Amino acid sequence: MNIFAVSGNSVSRIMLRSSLGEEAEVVLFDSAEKCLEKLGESLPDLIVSFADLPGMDAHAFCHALKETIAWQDIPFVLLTADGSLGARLKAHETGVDDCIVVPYAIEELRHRIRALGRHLEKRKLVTNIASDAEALTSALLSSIDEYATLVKFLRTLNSAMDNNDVARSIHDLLACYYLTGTLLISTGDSETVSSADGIGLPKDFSVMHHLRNMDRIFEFQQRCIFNFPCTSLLIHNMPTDQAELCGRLRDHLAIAIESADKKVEALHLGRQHAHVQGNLAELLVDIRKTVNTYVDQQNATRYQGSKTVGDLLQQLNASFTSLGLSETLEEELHEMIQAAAYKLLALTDNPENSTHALEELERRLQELLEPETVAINPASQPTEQMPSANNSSIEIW
Amino acid sequence: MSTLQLVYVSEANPDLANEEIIEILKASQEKNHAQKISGLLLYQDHHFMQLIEGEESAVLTLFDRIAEDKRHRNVVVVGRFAAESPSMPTWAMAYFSPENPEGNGKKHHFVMSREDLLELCESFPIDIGALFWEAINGIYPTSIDHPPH
Repeated sequence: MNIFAVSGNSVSRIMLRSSLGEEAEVVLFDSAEKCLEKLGESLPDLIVSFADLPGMDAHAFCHALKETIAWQDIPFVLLTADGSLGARLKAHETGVDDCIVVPYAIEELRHRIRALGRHLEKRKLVTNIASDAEALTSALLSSIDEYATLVKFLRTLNSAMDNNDVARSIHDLLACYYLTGTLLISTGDSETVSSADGIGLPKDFSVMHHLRNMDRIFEFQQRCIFNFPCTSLLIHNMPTDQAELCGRLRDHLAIAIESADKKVEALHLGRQHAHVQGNLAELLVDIRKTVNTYVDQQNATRYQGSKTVGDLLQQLNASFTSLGLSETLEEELHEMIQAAAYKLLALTDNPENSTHALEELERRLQELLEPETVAINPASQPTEQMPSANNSSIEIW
Repeated sequence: MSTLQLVYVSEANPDLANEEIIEILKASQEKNHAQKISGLLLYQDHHFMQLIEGEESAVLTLFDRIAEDKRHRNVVVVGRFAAESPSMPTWAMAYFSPENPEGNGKKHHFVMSREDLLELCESFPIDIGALFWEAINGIYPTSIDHPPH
């Protein structure tokens, strides 16, 4: 323990040193002014002062100590010849921590100072514990804040529509962590390098390509590179002077960049899927047109065929009159030609022909593109009533 | 309040053991504090020299009791002074023996060292300081008329 002892009397100073010197380092002063001057250089654990001092008296001395933040916690013991209640109360009002009446008993002085010393130790311990708790709380709050930032990033990433949105989210995250970095995003159809300032320079491309050959996570001085299949992130200013913070940020960034990598991959697959869907949609339109055209052609062919056969039969009936055939012979010829005509027309009415197959194909494609709707094929509903070979309206008689 | 400062010398009984001497020193400290008497007690070479100071009647009452104590003899007052306030803020003791000539030692932790006592002699009022300085150097006055240096 270090004690500053103040007395204007040399005998008193010698006795204080003799009484307390065995258990403490005692520095003697003959005035309050000199003691205050020394306090500017070093602080004691305790101050013992006689009440009767030359110059500034002990009460003013104590008051000056208690009014100064750097000194107010130093215990102050007053030695006074005035043991009256009023004097003791005044001393305590001034801020004196203990008051001993002179002449004092040496052992009592030692005991009281030891007691103050124990109290001081406990107070220092509590102060240290409070300081540690404050530091721990601060670290915890910082950690919570970091996690909140990461969660916010993941939410923003979830709504990213393209690689630019992903890059912007990453750089915003870095800004929240007071970091700067260069980001490479590479998919089959594009490659970009960016920083918080914007699109990267050609040299940034070459640097990032070189770094992609390194480990998944690679550190060098204040730089740290994270490499994933579609993304690479180079951090320029990791806080390597703060080991715990650096470790936490490294973990957060690993999660962030891996999530961003998956998002980039998903966006790329989505684009590919949309491209294929687009092609399928165009193909469907073409198939539909082809089917419609084919069906129309088939219907036209069937109609023309029926009409041609009908005309032929009419012409034959008309020619029978000039041939002078018998009725029986006319009927035989008529039935023979009619049967042949039916067979001919039946060729175009085959229910297993390619028209039906194409219509089925169209229906399946439609379901693939729009599973909730069922395609209504305009070709399946005749736009005009075309005569069919099975239709008995073909008048042949 | 005026203070009476009384200095006396005496000789310890030859058969007084060191432990008894220490007990004398301890007991005197308790009693004197209760009476608000301060002072200094020196023991060396079987001699006591003691400064008693405080309110006059209390000092004289104490001295009468000390003079009657059988553990020492040839009690002689060698100094009597009036002062505005006591010189000593407490009751202190210095004990020097052949085994412990410097007076230091944690065993007797309430006892002053020779070095502190010499320094004290220089700070005391000159008459009192001279008496104790001579005693430390083995010169014990035999009466109050012993001239101070």
